[in-house]
This record gives sequence, structure tokens and C-alpha cells, in this order.
Amino acid sequence: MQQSESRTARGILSLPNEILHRFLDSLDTKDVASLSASCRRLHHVTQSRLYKCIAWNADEGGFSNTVSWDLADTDFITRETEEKAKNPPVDILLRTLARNADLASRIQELSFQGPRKLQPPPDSLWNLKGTSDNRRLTNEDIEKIKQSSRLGIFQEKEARWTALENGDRAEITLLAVLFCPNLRRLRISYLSDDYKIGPFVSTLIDPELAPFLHMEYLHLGELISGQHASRLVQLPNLKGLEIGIESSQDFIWPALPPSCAPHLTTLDLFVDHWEPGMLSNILSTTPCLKELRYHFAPWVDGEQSYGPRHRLLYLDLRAFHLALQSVKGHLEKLGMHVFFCNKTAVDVGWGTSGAWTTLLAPSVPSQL
Amino acid sequence: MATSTEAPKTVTLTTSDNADIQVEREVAERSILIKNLLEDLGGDSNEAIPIPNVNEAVMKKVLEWCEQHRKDPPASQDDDSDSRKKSTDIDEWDQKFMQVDQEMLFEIILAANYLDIKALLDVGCKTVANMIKGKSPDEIRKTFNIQNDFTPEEEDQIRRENEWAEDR
Repeated sequence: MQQSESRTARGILSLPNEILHRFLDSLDTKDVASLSASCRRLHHVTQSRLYKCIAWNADEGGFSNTVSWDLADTDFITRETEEKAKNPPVDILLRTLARNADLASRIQELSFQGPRKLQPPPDSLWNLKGTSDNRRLTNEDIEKIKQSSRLGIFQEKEARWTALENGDRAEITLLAVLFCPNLRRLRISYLSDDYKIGPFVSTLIDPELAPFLHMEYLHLGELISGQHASRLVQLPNLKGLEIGIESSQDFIWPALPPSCAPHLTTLDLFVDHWEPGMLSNILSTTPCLKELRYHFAPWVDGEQSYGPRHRLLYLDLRAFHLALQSVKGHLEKLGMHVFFCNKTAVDVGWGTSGAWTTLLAPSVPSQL
Repeated sequence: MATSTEAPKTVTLTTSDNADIQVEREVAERSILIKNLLEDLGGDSNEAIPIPNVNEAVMKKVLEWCEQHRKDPPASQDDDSDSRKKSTDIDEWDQKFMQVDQEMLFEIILAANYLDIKALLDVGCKTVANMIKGKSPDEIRKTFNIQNDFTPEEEDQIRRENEWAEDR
């Protein structure tokens, strides 16, 4: 192959930025990062790509710079345990964001999907609730994070700092999210087995945190409380929402259009109680809704764990059918799917043909 | 699409170094730029079409690709962002076609961009992406003959800054 001769051979750096950006389309984040460290010009060209979208691919154990924000493919049910799956190095990311506000301000999309495991592998660094042994941030890093003005709004700082110092993944992820003032899309799921998303959601809906008013898409993989969910649907710019609600009796869908997300186009709602009126409430207050997925799993009363041991309650199929009929007009406009979560006991498809496709009787697993 | 029932129509392209290349119209029309030009000129113009940004050697190479892909279905508009992402699979003929020196590779990419031949541009960009994949910054510099113009301090800072993105 020819190497650079004395004449001005055309090299990669002679290409316009527009073309260089096209190269990045086929590269993973790791490769874009390598390019950015090769010379100044490429560093400049790659920065916006490197930090616009940060999406963890748990199965491959690496980051991508693009991710689909369509409704997840029912991965509630079918996702399998992957031995090689890894959790995202959010601590190292947090270190960068705390040190460089400009980079943090470029981030518009964050997707942290940890591997979903039924049993935490015993030797996994990340599934241990933090101990200082597995902490990778130095004291200097921690100080830098604590001193950041972005976190000035926090109350109960001490508890958060303790969690940070202990390497608590949930807390570190929350802090990383908070460092991104221009965040528009966020997906967080399966970060760890003892992950409590409650404090995270409280922070997201805290009215003092103006940044999240930009939020257009939100996908939380853990069940949240009905009260929290009621607040989340009021985020003013929300277009897509995928949440699961625990004890959904507390969940109130705001009755009037101005008080719930007026731009909502995509909704994936997982509830643990079948409320006949809920569906019609949702449909009558969301004029822009184009896609709805409504799952429910009626747990046995008092048993709220989201594990393999849950059971189906008896469902009054007639009431269910009537409730759906009452919103038939709306449903016909949507690609509507209703199903149970653990086994496909009831599967209602309201497809493009605009008619019932299936309505099967619930088959209660005999052993449970 | 063309309703050609007679002998194939040809067009003449004049390259930046003043070479005239005669080529079947269907082949030349893989280039959306040329296709639009021909449409603007009306049906049966015999005028040579100037291609001032592409020299003869590159144009011949580009037309070789167009000849091979003359029957491909036209690219749809909306596959722009999603379907091309990440996949660096290149079909065998294209892989062979792209086995040229870097200068020619970049010339082909620029010509495809200028002539608006999206599929060729994609193949070119994927070829370059494949040359980047899995390489360290230093290996990238060697591959593309790039001068490291960072100070040691800058280099260290960027390495730390990017550390989250690297494989663990």
C-alpha cells in the first residue's frame, strides 16, 4: 500500500466534517472514544457524538451512541438471564460529568439497562451493595462531585454522600443523571437487585429541578409507587412513558388534559390492578396518543413482590370485556395490546384491522 | 422508472480533468445528481454533462460500482438514520471493490457524496469504519497517518475523560 508521498495525498483529515460524522454512524462508543483521542481535529468532531447519547448495552457489555426509543419489545417477559451481561460503569461516567460541565450539558439521551438477573452471581462486583473495596472513585473524585453546584439543591445530603462513598450504584446513577441539565430521554432498568427507585423518582419529579421539565421520554424498569406515577405523568413535555406501578390503587390519572402530559404519544403502563375506569380516563385525556400498551398483573392481595412466585387473581372477563368495549372508539385508533405479565393468559390485540384478534380465557398455572 | 424498450440510451460525462466518459443512462442515473440534471435538461439532450468535482480515474471507479449496482432498488427515504446504524456488513463484491489505497477510498467517498449516490457513500463509510473498529488511538494514528498533536497533559486528560466509554 502506498504511504504518504511528498505530494499532498488526500488523507482522512482532509475530509469535511459531514463525511467524518458519517463514519461515526457505524461505530460503537468505544471506537468513537478512540478516535477522539487520536488528534485534535477528530477530538473536536467526535465530542458531540460521544456525549449526545450514552446508552449501555448490557448484553454486549458496552456503550452505544444510538438507541431505539420505541416501546421495548415486551422485554418484561422474555428477557433472559445472560451470564456475560454486565452493568454500566456509571461511577466512571459520573467522574467525567462532575469534572466537565460542558460535556454533561451535551447529553440528551441516557439509557442504563443493566442485565436482569433472577439471582445475583455471588462474585459480581456490581451486584454487591457497595463496600469501599469496590469503589473506583478516589477521595478527590468524591470531593469534586460533592462540591458541584448542580447538586446544591439536594436535601438530606449526608445520606446521599454516604451512599456515594459506599459505591451505591443506584445513587451514583441518580447523580450522573442529575449532572445532565439538557436531558431529554432517559431509560433506567435492572440496575441491581436491591435497587430502590423511589428516591430517584422523587428527585425526578421535584419541582425545584427545572432541567427535567425537558424530559420527553422516560422508561423506568422498576415498579414505582402510584403517587410517584401520578406526578410523573404531569411532566409537561413528556411524549413517551414506560412505567410499571406497584399498588396502583394510589395511581390517579389526572382527569383534565392540561394537568397530564399533553404531548404524550406513547404509553406503556404496567399496573397491578385492573381498574375498569382507568383506561377510559387515560384515553380521554391524551389527544396525541398513538401507541398504548397496557399490561396488568393482578397479584394476590398482599403479595407485591415482583418475582417468579406471583399468582393470577381471578379476573372477571365480562367486566374486562365491557370496559374495553366502552373505549372501543379510541382503541381502534391505536395499536392496542393488553396482556397479563407472567403468562399470556389474556391477550387482546387491537391491531391494524381494528377488530378483536384474540381473547383467550386465563389459564391459571396449576402449581401456583 | 425508465420505460426503455429500445437500445439503451447513453450520456456523456465530462470529468474535472476534461475526459469524456460515455455511459449508459441507467448506470449514470444511480447518481441522483446526474439523474436530476438529466431530468432538468429534458428527454433527449446530447449535451455532455460536466462533473467538475470528480476526475477521470475516480469517475471510472464510481461508474464501475454503478454498473454493478444498476438494478438495485432505489434507496427509500426513511431508512436514513436507523437501518444503516451499526451494521458494518458489506457485501462481497463491494468489499473487493473497496480494496483500494486510502486516497482512492476517500476520493470515492467524496465523489459519492457529491454525486449523491447514497448506497456507495454508505459502503465507503462502512469501509472506513471497519478500519477504525477495535483500534487504539495510537493504532488509528498509524492506520491513517495522523500526527498526534495533543500535549501529553491533554492526552492524559482525554484518556481519563473517555475512560467510561472503554471496554472494561
